[in-house]
Amino acid sequence: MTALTLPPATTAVPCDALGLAWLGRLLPRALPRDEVAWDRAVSEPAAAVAETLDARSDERLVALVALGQHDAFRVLGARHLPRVQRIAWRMLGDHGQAEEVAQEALLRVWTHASRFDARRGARFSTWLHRIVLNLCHDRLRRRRHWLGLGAAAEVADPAPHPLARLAAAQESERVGAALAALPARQRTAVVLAYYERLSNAEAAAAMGIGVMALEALLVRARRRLRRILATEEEQ
Amino acid sequence: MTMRSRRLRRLLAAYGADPGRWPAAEVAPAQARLEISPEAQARQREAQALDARLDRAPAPVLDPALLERVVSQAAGTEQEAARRHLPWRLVRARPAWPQLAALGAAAALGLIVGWSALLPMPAEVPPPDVVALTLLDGLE
Repeated sequence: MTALTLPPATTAVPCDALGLAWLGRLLPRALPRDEVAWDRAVSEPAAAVAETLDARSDERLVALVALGQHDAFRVLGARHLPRVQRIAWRMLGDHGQAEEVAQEALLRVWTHASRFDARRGARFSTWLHRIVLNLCHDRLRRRRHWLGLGAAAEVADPAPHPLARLAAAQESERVGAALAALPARQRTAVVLAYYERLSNAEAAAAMGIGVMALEALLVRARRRLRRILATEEEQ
Repeated sequence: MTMRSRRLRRLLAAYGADPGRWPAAEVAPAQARLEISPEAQARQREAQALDARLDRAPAPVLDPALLERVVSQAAGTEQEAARRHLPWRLVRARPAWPQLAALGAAAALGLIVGWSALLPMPAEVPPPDVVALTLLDGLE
């Protein structure tokens, strides 16, 4: 449990406090973000201030991150990093690159937290997943091939007997290869909706598409996976 | 509310056999339809077989130390937080420079006008023809 500590007064000095309200009005683009975050972060009753960071919603934590709160950033990271790593790894098939993407995505949260505006009903997780997917798609575009789920992978359910273990490893490899053969958008849909169990609305929002489009991608992806796996079995 | 078999087929084809992955609002009607439709049950078994294979996909190895690395990297970008301080943000406020320039110009103009009002007015100089007449009067 992490106790809440308010940010140092110098982190974001509201213009009003300096008797410079007119300046705040004059520079609308220069001063709004941190003040919005500040208002959101401190406009709670005194009892709530004692509330732990762990109990806070993602959106409240991002407001604190925008004020430079390391503790809030750590809590947010602990909450989302495992999923971010899994998504990146399933998208890229490379442990090192997945870590780089996860790291970069969270650092973007740190540096751009003030751009996130929860008042429009946006969810932090959707924003973060979009960052991760964009970073993954950039890398996929650059290299134009998928590396495959390789050495860093663990077989999902390793059997105790060596032969059974080998068979499980081969099956795991086959499924990994089948996923790798999917077009990037279909793979993204499967990763988010199937493996990460996001709701259809969340997955669609993260991909920037509608729910019906997501369903169409999933239907095509599963049909294709079934075909690939059946063909491999025949061989 | 009953669900059409076509919709149930679509759910199974898109989300698989596990109702936990179906859209929450459609779970109950879909399960009601499943109970009475042998054809839907057969499709669910097919979807289940694919799910079982997908679950054998390799699982990523997560590095528990990554979070600490990211947090310390963020701390390293402390200068970013410093940019949030007022003076730097004023410098960055490029879109506001025209307004500031206009404000400065207006202030300068006001100073000039105000300053000139404080200066002593020059003594009144009579027009030249009056001076000439006065001189002529003196000569006479």
